[in-house]
Amino acid sequence: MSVTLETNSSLQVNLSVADDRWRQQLGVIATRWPELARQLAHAPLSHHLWREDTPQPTLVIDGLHLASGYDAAAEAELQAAQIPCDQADCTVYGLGSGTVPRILLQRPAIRSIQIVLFNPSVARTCLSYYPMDDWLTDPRVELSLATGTSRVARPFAAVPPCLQLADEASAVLRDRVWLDLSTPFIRQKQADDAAHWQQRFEDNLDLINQDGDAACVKGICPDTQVLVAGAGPSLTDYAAVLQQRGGSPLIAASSALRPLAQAGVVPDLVVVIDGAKDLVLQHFDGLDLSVYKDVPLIYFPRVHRHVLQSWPGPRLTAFPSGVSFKEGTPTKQRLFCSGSVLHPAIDLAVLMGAREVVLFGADFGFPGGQSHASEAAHLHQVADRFAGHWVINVAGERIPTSASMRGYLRDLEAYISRHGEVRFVTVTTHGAQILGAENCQQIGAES
Amino acid sequence: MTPHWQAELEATVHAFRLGMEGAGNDHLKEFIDRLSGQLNAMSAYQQQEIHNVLAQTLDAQKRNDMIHIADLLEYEIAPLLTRCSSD
Repeated sequence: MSVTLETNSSLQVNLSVADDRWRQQLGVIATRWPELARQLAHAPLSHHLWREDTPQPTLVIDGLHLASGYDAAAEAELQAAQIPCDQADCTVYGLGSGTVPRILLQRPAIRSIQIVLFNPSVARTCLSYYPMDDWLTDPRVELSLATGTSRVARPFAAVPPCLQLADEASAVLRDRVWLDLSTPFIRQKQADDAAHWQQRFEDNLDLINQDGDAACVKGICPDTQVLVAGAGPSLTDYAAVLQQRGGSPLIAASSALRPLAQAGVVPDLVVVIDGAKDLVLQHFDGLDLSVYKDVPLIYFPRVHRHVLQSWPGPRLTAFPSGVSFKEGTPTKQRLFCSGSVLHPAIDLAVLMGAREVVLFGADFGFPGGQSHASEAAHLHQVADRFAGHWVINVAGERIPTSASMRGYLRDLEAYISRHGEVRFVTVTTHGAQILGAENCQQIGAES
Repeated sequence: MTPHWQAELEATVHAFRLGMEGAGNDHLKEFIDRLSGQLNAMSAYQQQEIHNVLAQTLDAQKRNDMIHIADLLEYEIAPLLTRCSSD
C-alpha cells in the first residue's frame, strides 16, 4: 500500500472537495474558537493519503490510518465506550474521523466534551476530509489544542493515531495519555512478575539477611551535590569530566560501569535492579572488579545471586516501590522505581540528602542513533524511526526512543515534581528534555 | 467451540483500536504463536493467503499503524481462518 500523497485525477477531485469542507468547517470553528481557528488556518496539511480502496474510505497520515477502513462507526463505538454511560463531563483525545464525539453527544447524560487536538496540521487534514460541522456547533463541545503542561483529564476516550501524530508542543500530554492507556497492561505484567519476584527473593534470602540496608545512606550527604550516571549515549561525552568530580559522590547504574571505567572513573555507589543474570554480568565484562572492593552495590532482591556474589564490594539491599511481597517478608529501604535503573539511583541520591542531583547519560532516547554510551555492554545502532516513538531533546529536536523509555521519562518527571526541595540538572547536548530538570551542556570539575 | 486463536485475535484488535500498544503487541505475538500451530492443517493455498495478510500486518506493526493492524486482523485474517476452520 502506498502512503504517499498521490496526484491522480480522482485525488484532485477529492482535494477540491476537501478544500471546500475545510473552509466550511474552519468557518464554524472561527465563530466559536477564533484563536484556535487562526492556528489551524496557519497549519499546512499533513502528508496524507485519502484511501478509497478499502470498504470505507479512510485517511492515512504519515503512514498511520486515522480510522478503520472497514467499520469506522464500530471502532468509534468501542473508543467511546471507554467513557461510562452515565458520565456527564468527559474528554476526547484526538479528532480522527470525528465519530467519537458524535457518538458521545447522543448520550442523554453528556453535559460537556472537551476535545483536545495534538497537532494543528493533523486536525486541519481531518477537518478537510471528514464532516464534523454537525457536532462542532453543539454548545456542549469545547475544542482546544493540547498544551505542554496539561494533565490527563479522566474519563477520556482516545483516538490512538492522533496521539501518535502529536507535534512537539503536545508531546508531554501525548505521553501522559499513552502511559494512562498502558497502565492496565503494565499492572498486569507486574502482577505476572510478582511470583517471580517472590521466588527470587527467597532464593536470595540468605544474602539479603547478611547484607546491609540501603537505608544506611540516608542523610549521609546533606545539602550536597550528588552525581548520577546512566548508560545513555551522552555519557560518552562527559565520562572524562567525572574523573575530576571533586567531592561530589557519584552513583552509577551498573550498565554505566564500563563506559565510566573506560574513562578511568570509579563511582562511589553502584545500583543494579535487573533480574536477568547474563545481561547484568555483561555489565562487568572485561572490568577489573577489584577496583570496586570498597564500592557498595545497591541491589533489588530480584537480581540474580551470581551477580551479587561476583561483586567484590559491600552490598546493600533496597526494595522497589510499588512491589508487594508475601506478608511477613522482611523489607528494607524502598526506592522509587518505575522500570528504569535511573529511578532508584536518583531516589538514592535524594535519600542521601542531595540538594542537587546532576544526571549524566540520562537520555531516555537514542541520540545519534546509538542505544548506549560507547563501551556499554549492550551498545547497538537503532533505526532512525523506532516504531514512530520520539521525545524532544534538550536542543528542541525529535530523537527516536522506545515506548518504555518515554514512560520512564514521564514517571521521572512526576517524581521530580514531588521533590521541589531538590534541584535536578541533566548534563547532555542531545538527550531528552526532562521537565523539572535544568539542562547543562558544559560542566567543569566543580559545577 | 471457539477456535483457540479467536480470543487472542479479538484481544489484539481491541487493544490496538484503543491505543494500548504494549498489550496489542503482546496479544499479537501470542495470536501468531497459536496460529502457527494450526497452519499445518491448512492447504498450501490457504497458508499462502494467510501468509500474505500476515506480512501486511507485520509491515503495519513496523510503522506502528495500530488501526490498520486491527483492520487486517479483524476483517481479513479472521474471515480467512473461519473459512479454513469450516472447510
